[in-house]
Amino acid sequence: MNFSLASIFERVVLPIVTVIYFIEALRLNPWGSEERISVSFFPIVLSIVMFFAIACMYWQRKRGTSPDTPAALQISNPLKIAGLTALYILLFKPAGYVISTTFYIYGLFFVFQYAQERPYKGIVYAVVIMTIFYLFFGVGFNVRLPKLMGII
Amino acid sequence: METVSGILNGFAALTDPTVFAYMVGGFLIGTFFGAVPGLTAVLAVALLLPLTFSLPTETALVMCASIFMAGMYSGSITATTINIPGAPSSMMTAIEGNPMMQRGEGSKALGHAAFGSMIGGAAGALLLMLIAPFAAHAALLVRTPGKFSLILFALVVIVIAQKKTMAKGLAATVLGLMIATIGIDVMEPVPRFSFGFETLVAGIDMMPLIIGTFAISELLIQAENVNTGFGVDPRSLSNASAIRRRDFLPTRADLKEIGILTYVKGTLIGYFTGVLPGAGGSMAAFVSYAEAMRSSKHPEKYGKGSIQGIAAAESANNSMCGGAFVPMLTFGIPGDPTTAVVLGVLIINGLQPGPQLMTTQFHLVAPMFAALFISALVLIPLTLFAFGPYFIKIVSIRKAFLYPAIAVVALVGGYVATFSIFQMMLSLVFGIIAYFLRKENFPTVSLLLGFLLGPSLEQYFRRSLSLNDGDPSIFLTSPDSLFFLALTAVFFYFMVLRKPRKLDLSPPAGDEN
Repeated sequence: MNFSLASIFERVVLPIVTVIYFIEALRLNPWGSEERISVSFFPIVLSIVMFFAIACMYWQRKRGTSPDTPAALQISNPLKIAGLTALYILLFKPAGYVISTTFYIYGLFFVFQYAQERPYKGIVYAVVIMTIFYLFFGVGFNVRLPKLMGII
Repeated sequence: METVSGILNGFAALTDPTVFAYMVGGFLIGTFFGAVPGLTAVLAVALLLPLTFSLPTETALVMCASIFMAGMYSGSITATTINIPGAPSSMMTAIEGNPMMQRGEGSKALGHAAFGSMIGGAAGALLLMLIAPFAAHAALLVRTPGKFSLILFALVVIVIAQKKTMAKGLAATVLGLMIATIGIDVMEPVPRFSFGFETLVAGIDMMPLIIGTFAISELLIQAENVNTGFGVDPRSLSNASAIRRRDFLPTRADLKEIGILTYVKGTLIGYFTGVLPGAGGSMAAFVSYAEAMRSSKHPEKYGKGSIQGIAAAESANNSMCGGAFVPMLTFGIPGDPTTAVVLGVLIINGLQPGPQLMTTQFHLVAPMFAALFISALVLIPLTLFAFGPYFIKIVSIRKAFLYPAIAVVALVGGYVATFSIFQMMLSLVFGIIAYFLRKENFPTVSLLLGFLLGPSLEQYFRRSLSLNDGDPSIFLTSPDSLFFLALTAVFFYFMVLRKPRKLDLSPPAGDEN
């Protein structure tokens, strides 16, 4: 799946985030406050500089002088990884390190197209990698990793 | 005298077998991360960051130093053997090293890259030991308005160093500054930008930002093309048999051809480029290479396999390591992305960079200086002779094993440092943001530097104005502040307004190493 909105961050996300940030900065110190250098002063300055940067990028795009072309987004696999990682983080404490990490690594093997070809080997390697890092963190650095019901 | 004994104590600290083992381990990790295209020394130090909680500060810093030196050197390995620089700072080495590899002189090219790195790295570390204590004393003279102007100078240089993508550099830097304002205000107990979330009142920790920006975003980028490997032509791997240990040693005739001046100039250019915030190894190597070509008696050899070009580039990018530590340790302003993450290690361990660190806590940083020197002088040649013929195999490792392992280290590492699921989730969020930034050619290093320098910038700005009843003229009447503002103007003139005459010395956009 090729994603055509290659400049989504520059064109959409950054302007929206800056507007929200600017409004919140204004709310921090209402107009008429006697304090000249208040907690909102610096954020307001930052918002103005960011608006300037966004305007520069827009101007460069408009005039066709933008020196770089953003790479096309091939969002399918990164999306899968982001979803898998979010799931891993949510299950990390309730399911414990051993189970959540083994499934996470196995899931990543699928995204990196290893487990499709060798599903059983994939399970073995996922357990091996999980064990290596269990020894690294749990034994080497003596960190208490989460366990499922205090057992595994 | 105190400084000399402090440095000698730093070397003595390395005789502890545990510290020494961490230095060697760090060097091997750095070599691996520097050599594999896509992985960088910054990523290696970022992955180490959570573990520094469990390590003594000196050991963590020693490991960071050896990773940094190894990462800067080992980019030359794949640059020479397969024409893919492991790190952007080895781009010049690829131009000269790979043609030599093609004509069966790969060992010679690798030997000269290692020799140049050894000379530059060791000399850069020595210059660091000589200059840093004086710089720390000089830093005591800089007052609050001057500190603001110095950080402003650093941020301006970081932005204009992007040259062709300056607007994006500015946006990324300001985004970093904006993220740094989340949480309790630096001077008053007022929460800002928490949007009603209690977890945001404490602010954004640097750990998830670093792990997300460097580790998670890399995982997402590499996942785009799972079948491409590292873009290595299998035929080039078959050249591995041409690498022989006996050819690593530079001959007297080669050294005469290169000339001692090339090493000296490369070292000095690299060191002082390192002192500049945000310049990094690529710019150091590029400027040194261009200077060597300009002053060479045989410029026609450049681009076809010039050992002088390799020596100039490699001595400069490794010398940069020493230079980059000077502003970081004395002013808390990192000279390059790796030192920015090392700054994180210092802060996490409760150390505040500045003159105090170089005087009262010198015993903590002296082993790091020694590790930088020993890594360059001993470990670079040693690893070349021990593993040189097998270096080429590094790129044979499957992405399917490498990146899941990196993901686990990054996420579990983030957890063990804070025991917080929220911080793990934040790493993912920053990873996704950094992924989009990188795809759209925003320099993520600028984001990190903005985030790290933001609180100090705001604090010094507001303090200065409070000292002068809100009158901004204090920045022009204070001599140290005026000096740094004038320096900013000079840099802006030479790097932005003045057209380059012959050579464009800008590093590649999005330079991260």
